[in-house]
Amino acid sequence: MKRPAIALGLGLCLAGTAYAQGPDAEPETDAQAGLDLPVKTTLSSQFRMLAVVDEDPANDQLLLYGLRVRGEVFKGGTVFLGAGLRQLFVAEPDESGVDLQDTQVGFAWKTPVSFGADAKLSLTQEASVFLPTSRTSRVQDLYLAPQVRLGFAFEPVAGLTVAGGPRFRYRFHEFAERAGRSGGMNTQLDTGLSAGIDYAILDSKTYGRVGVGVGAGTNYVRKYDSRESYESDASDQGVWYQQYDWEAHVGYGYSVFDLGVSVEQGGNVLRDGVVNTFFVHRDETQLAFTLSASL
Amino acid sequence: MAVMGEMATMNGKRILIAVAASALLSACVDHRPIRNGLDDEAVYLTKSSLTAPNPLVEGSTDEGWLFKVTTVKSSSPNVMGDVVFPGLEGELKYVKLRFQESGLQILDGRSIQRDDPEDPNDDLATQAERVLFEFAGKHVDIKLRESLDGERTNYLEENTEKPWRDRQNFKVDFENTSMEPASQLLWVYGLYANLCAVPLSSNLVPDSFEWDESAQSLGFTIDVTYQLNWLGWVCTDLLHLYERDAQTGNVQYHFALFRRGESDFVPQIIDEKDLVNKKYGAFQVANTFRDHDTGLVGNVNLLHRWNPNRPENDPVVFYFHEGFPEAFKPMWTEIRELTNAVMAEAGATLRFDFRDCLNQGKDEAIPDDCQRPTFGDPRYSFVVWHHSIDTTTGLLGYGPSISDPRTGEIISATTNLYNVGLDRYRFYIQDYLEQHGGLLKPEADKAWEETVCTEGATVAPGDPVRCALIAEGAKNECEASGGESCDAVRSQTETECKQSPRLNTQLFAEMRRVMDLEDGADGSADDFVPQPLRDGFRDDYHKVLGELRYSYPPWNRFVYRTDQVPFQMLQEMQQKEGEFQNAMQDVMAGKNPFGAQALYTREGIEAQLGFTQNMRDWRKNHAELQHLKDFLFSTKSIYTFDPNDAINAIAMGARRCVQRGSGFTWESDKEYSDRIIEAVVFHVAIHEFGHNLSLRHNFYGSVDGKHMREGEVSASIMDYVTAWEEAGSSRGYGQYDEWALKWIYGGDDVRAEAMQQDILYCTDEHRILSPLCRAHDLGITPAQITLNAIEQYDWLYNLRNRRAYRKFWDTSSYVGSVYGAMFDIQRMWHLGIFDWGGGGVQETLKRLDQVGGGTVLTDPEYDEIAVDFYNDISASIGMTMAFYDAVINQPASFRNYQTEYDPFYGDILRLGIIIDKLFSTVAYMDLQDIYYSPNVAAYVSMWDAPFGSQNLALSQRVLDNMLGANYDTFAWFKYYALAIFASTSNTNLVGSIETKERIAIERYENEMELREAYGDAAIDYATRVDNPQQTFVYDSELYVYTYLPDRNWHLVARASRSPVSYQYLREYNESLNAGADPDLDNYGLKILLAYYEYFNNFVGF
Repeated sequence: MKRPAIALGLGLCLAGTAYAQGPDAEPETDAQAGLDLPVKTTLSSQFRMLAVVDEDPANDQLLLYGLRVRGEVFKGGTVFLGAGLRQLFVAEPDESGVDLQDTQVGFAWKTPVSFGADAKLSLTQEASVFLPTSRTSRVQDLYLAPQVRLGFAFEPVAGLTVAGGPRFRYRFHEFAERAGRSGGMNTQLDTGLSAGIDYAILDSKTYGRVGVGVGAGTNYVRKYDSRESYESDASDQGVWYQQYDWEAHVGYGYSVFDLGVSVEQGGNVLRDGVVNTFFVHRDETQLAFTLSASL
Repeated sequence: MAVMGEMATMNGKRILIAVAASALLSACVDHRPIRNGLDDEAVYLTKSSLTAPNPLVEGSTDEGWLFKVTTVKSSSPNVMGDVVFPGLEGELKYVKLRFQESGLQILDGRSIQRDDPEDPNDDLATQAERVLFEFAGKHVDIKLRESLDGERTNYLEENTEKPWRDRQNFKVDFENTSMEPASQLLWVYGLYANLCAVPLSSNLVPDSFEWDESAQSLGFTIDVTYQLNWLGWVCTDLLHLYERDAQTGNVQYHFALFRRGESDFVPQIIDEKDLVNKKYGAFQVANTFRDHDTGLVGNVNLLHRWNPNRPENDPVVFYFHEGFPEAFKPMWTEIRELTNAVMAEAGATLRFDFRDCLNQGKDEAIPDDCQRPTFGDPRYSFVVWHHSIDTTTGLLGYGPSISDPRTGEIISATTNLYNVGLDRYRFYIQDYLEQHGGLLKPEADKAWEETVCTEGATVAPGDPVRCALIAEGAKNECEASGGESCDAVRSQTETECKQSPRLNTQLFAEMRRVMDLEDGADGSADDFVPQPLRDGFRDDYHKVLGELRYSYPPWNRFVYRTDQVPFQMLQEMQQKEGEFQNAMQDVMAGKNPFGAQALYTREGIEAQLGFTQNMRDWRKNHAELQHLKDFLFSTKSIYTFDPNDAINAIAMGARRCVQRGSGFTWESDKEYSDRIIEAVVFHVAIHEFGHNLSLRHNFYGSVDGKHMREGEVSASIMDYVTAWEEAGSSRGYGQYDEWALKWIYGGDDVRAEAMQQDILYCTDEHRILSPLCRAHDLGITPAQITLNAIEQYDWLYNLRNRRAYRKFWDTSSYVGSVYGAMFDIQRMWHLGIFDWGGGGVQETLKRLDQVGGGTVLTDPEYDEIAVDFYNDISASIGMTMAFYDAVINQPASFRNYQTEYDPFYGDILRLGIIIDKLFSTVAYMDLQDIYYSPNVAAYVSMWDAPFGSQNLALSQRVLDNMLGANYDTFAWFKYYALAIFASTSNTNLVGSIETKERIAIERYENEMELREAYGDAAIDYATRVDNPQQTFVYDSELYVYTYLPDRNWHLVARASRSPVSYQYLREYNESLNAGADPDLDNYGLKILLAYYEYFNNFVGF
């Protein structure tokens, strides 16, 4: 059974630090494979914009291009490589509006688990590493960021999938502090948990695939320790931030192509020292339009 | 499930590995360099570090700091060179720091009253802290920028979110302070210094701030710009500054705060009148407190000294400041050995060493990475050579030491040595020697070092070896020219050579004349200084000196007037001194201070009397001001230096004959001056180091012949002796210094032995009043000292009155120089009339024998002993009077009274000696306002109390010479002695009221009255043609008569009663009757008559 997986993947993008997450995606399933090739390739492009357009919409729009290549090395085990490109519509003088996203290289191992007659459950373990190919990561002197992700996909009835799982990412930086006068500390540890539910409304070879879904997630980010303990001995210890996100999407797929539209909202739980979350926010809630092709 | 379990195990291992790897790598993360958002030009202090108890002492609750200010640099020329100069430093203070809302306050850490928690009547609840001064600033937290979420950056910035008390840092502005840094050098210095210059701005010297928390040391340097106060007190060589357009100047002050660790130093209390105070001079630290029981202010004096128990292997190290001349370093090894030997003899383990670097061991070479302490850091001791000549005005050395005010333990000290232009003195020396017979270069076309000499010879005036050489040369020349009696030529030449240098100038010739000494004396001082009749004179003299120490009461610390403490009148005194100097400069320029009116009129007489009164006021002020300045310097252990002394020093030090290979030639100019300079510097260095060891001045060293070793001119290095003595005298501590150091640093046994010594000691507070406790004296007895002082005056004429070698010549010091020469020697006269006269010597000796356990002699025996005292002091006083006479009578052709100018350029070619004559006249004729001792003050005229019968006749001759007005001077000055005499002799302050009759003239309005008084026979005899002097005898007395036709006055004077008038009238008659001078006027007679009658029912005419 195939289902539009793009939407969920995009939704989880918000759970992490977006600019470092471009190529990162949900563990893939066989259903995503468009063609029966030993090496699968997925190309994607996504247009993102604020759900509520302001006076200067170009600032809030961007395009993401993705490439993901994977190959099965044994039954259930694949190696993969993900890369991405981000294109802004507005750039600073002497700066390119296009830059690479961090490149992810990893290995995923998917194991189906028998779970009754109709119900399906599969577990995925993935180990990967992000390489600092993005300008942001290079500026912040990221060495690499290894990540472990565990996932499950449970299909209690046909067409309904509940998926989710935790992930842990450790970021190795040269310096604890970010570059820039107000840079703050670099992220040392990024751990999150996400879950989503998808429902395939239509799954037809003739008419294509139509699905809807929602997802939500949260993650905890730990910053590196500061260099000074000014107020107290403990005041140099790194801070933890919680982030949250949700999304809802609808997708349509045909042959090797998938088209998706999602609405997404996410951000820090603590803002300026105050817990402040929004279900929607006119300056934050985004729309994403995705077109992908899997070969 | 088994698979799951296996998978779980595998996953677990991976996670563990990942976590382990993460942890490992996490530890490797670096921190990005701090981005500084702070004001780099500001200093941020951590408040808790400065207000917490001293961490160097375990368990300490002491929150105090030790604080000191040091002057480390100044611009050159230094507009405040007289008072603030590099090296000058303040006392060490115990302070506490307090942060107020907008300032860092330096509080007096000491309280006059202790806060006893056990005593309900002794708490300080209503007592506020005393702020010494404060620095402005702002309370901040210095932290990395932090978001509202608590995330930090590497951007360091000020933060003011918390209340000011809770902020941990203080952004201090050291440039914005409530006090003038100079005031921290000594409390009066701020005022004193600002008379010279006004502070305009101050800046923190870049990179000068140092904070070492582990060592608890904080320091910084402030650079203050001053503007010369042209309208105020001129503090230094004005001409010099004018040429440089130096209307501003900068002084850098180093501020230092520090704390110390544990010390085993044991404070020692010295009672106010402890016996040792009369025996040895050691600096003491005064601790004043309010005695709670009595309610009175109390005081504890602590001995100021290094810790005598400091381990021998941990010596006190003095560090050579950068740039210290290599040539002067070896002498410090000598001083080290001398000092450490004395310490060893005292039984102290304290030792000293001198090095360049912190990372240098004893006697080790200077390491390549030499680490030098910062000059001004009070934790270290220094030896500093100040190269710039113009940052001071004539200092040779300065040796401060600082001690913990709570214990008296010396923590560090500095020997400052100043290059006051020693190098240029070689030119002075040459100039001087060429004029004074000492330099008799044997071969004019040959350098000294190429000229052969005899071993042991010098070129000193009268040097036997040199004279023998000259005599031999004269003999050879005689023989070569075929002369006869060449041996006699040789002998005569040698005798003349030995005699020629001394005491044979016109000044001394006049002194000999008036003293009735043989003319053509042999140049020996024996003519003036009597030889003692008894062998025991020196010992008796030595005993008496201890009784002649008189302290200056205004400087006593325990009893004083609070309405007029020293320095209070400083500005007023300086203004009055300015009036004095201006008036004297006018006189030197030939201006008449009495105005245009005739001197015999009432206005003329009153003008002279007014000037005389001004002179009295000015003199008193000048003397007190000089005392004040001396006191200021003495409290700061400053060694002032009269450059004229250097010339003497080198003249008397004399070029020597030195061995070169197998032969001998003279020292070259460079060798000669280098040797002299090194010797002078050595003596200054050991003197200042003596201060560093806590020794005070001892001005009795130069009169303590009993304790002088061979080659010494003083028994103490702590004396001020003239540089000529220093240059030629032996090197090392005197006996006084050794015993004083043994007492200061020794144990009980050594101290007991020291207290048994009879070494003489007197110090700064005695220097003003005590007749023989003086600086720059040469000689032991009064007569010796007086003769040498007069000789020095005579020698210095060419350099004092002539421009000589000077490109620029500041003549403002002339008045002070001559003043000192003229008036200072009067103290011997004071000694005679107030102490030694009337059996004073006998009384003193008898009392000493009675209380000292000696054999008490009979009165005749004491009388016999006193004879030598009387002879010596009488000779001294006689010389003084003769000196005044000789100065007055110096002919203009020899030393002109009138200042000579270049008519076109206007520069002074030669200063006239009118001031010398004026001071001599005032010194001899006027009433002297004498403050002899704390218990004796009187007005006395020298002519009225000449001391002894021998001097009585001399004084009459001097008096007659002065009143006779028969010497070269300005017309207005000619009769000034008469005016003073008339004034003083008519007061009730003179001993013999009949003295005023010396200038008396009887005036008769008509001849009938005259004849009624003396009878016709006498008058007829007086007017006989064969009696040109018009003298006559009446009632067995000799008289003189004259007639003034323009006034129709008949004047008569009796020779015995009025010898001066008698002489005036007789000489007038002689001239009149001889008809030699058709323009002969009777001006002098009218003046004489007017001066007498002004004070004796003068009605005017």
